[in-house]
Amino acid sequence: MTIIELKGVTKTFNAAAVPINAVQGVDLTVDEGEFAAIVGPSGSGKTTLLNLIGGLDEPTSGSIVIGGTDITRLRPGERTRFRLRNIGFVFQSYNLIPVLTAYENTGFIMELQGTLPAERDRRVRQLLDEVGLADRMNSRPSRLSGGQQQRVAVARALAPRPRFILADEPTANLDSHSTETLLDIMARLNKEENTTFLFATHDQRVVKKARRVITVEDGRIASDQRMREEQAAHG
Amino acid sequence: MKLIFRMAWRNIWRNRRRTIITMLSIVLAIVLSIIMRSMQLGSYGKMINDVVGTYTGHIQVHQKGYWNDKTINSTFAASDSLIGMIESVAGVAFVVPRLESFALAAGAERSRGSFVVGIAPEKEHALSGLRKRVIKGDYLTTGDSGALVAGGLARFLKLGVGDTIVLLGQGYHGVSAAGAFRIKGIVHFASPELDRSFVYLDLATAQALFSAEQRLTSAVVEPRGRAATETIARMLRSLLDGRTFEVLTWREMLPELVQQIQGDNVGGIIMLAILYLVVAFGIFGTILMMTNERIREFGIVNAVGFSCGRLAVMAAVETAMLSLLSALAGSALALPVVLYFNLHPIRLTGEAAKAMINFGVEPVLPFLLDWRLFLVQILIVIAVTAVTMLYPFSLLGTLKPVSAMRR
Repeated sequence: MTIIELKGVTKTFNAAAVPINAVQGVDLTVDEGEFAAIVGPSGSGKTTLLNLIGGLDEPTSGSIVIGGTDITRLRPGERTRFRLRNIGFVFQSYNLIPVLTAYENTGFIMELQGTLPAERDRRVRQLLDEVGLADRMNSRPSRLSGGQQQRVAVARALAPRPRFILADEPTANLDSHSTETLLDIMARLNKEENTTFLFATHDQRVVKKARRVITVEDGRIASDQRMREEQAAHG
Repeated sequence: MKLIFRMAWRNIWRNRRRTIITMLSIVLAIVLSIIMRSMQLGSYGKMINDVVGTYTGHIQVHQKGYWNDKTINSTFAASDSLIGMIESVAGVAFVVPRLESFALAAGAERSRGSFVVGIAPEKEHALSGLRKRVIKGDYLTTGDSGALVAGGLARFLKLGVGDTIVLLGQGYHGVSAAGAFRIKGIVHFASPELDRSFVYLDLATAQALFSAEQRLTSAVVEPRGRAATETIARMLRSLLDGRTFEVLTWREMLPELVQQIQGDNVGGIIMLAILYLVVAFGIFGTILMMTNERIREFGIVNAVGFSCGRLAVMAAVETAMLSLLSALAGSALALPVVLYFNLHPIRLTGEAAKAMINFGVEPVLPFLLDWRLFLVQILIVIAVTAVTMLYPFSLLGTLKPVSAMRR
């Protein structure tokens, strides 16, 4: 079942009065349960594409339909509510809220959604346990390592069971061990909870785990390869 | 909302030193402004009480035109129904009748112009505490044929208790007024002007002296509380025939006192405005830093679904907590100071004291203890804070998560 559908999406920035086409006429569909990576060199437009899919930015033209809703037609406030209900984000720099503990950060979106405390508590504890941070739930981000913070960010994104998760260079600041741990966690959650993951990355370790690799060059999709599960699992 | 409050509270303490410095500046401003305003308003209250309470009263009813041209001919018939009608107005505590005129007061050797007031002794005491001003002899009784003479006048005329004072003047409709009265008591006024001119007679005695039987120059109307003055005056104006009577409040009778208070008050308000302007810049500086250093964070939380509206509420709650806590702490610190000087007013000496005495005011500065004084300062801080909040509000109103996260 298709949950993301882009048709003729273009994003043009006007830098110093010179128009730059970061994304040019992209058509793309992503199905439920996919574990896909958008790859490409720096400046190819993969982060812009991810931002457009996540409703963080507006396309210059084209339509982006998420689960039947064309998010390009939504007003900024409606888009924020849409993101809250449908999309999980994992950012390169972890981006946890510094004044909240790991437990509170993980439950943050659920609390915004108004999930009942008991249900929230159960889900947060379960996820922190799954990402191996059950013993650090009362620590604030400043007391956690980069890898631990990114695991909390993944738990936060997964907690409200979003339609899909957008991860922009989630492993860029992590060492090899932390990267492997994080990718294993995400792959497991993708399987167990059928959560769709879409990465923007140029980390080959992520690409090797992906079951679909979308290559972006100069704002266009240059290739779109689907791997067999065994291929992805063994890189 | 619970989440917003929790985050706001923790955000305040992210930079403890900055928060404490900002709070201290607000606390200091609140303490200074409360003490300053308490002293100012307390002294105004004292001035009003002294001047109004010594003689004028809060409201007076006269024959139309009397206040601008005080002659014995501008009297009105004091019928029981008229006095009863005035007393029946809601909020009126009591009515004090007076017959006032000028006369030459003379002793055996000297004479001087004096202000003669016919009074109902008990009501007059209830209004102005006149009995307490008696420093020698006794106070008047109803129907008394004696006189109370102000100390300065008695000294000038070289008269004492038991001596006779002669009053010579013009009575109602040109009839000559002359009488000799045994001095029953000497009264003292702080104001030299009053102390060298006042002579009190019983009302009936004064009416007989000025051939103005059953007539009054003024009916002093005392409200149950000062706040009701204007309302009662309005009601009296609607009740009494405006072509015959005038109803004046103390503000209208004593414009120079009102102007003095207003002038001083404006000075105080300007001082406060400067103080709060400094505080506003302090608060704004903190808000500016708290906002700018967190733009990226605002972008992140907005990206994950925390709306700009919620962010604005959180920013407002943070600032409100900061300013309210400071305002409450400042009020708590100022309270014992205000309380102490309310109970133990500052007693002035030297030239300042003389100036106040000349104005008919006791030279003390009592502090006003009124919850509204504290509330006003807290509201000012909230208002100042609300203005400084425009910056984060305008920034959050145009927040774009992608560009905010690039910071």
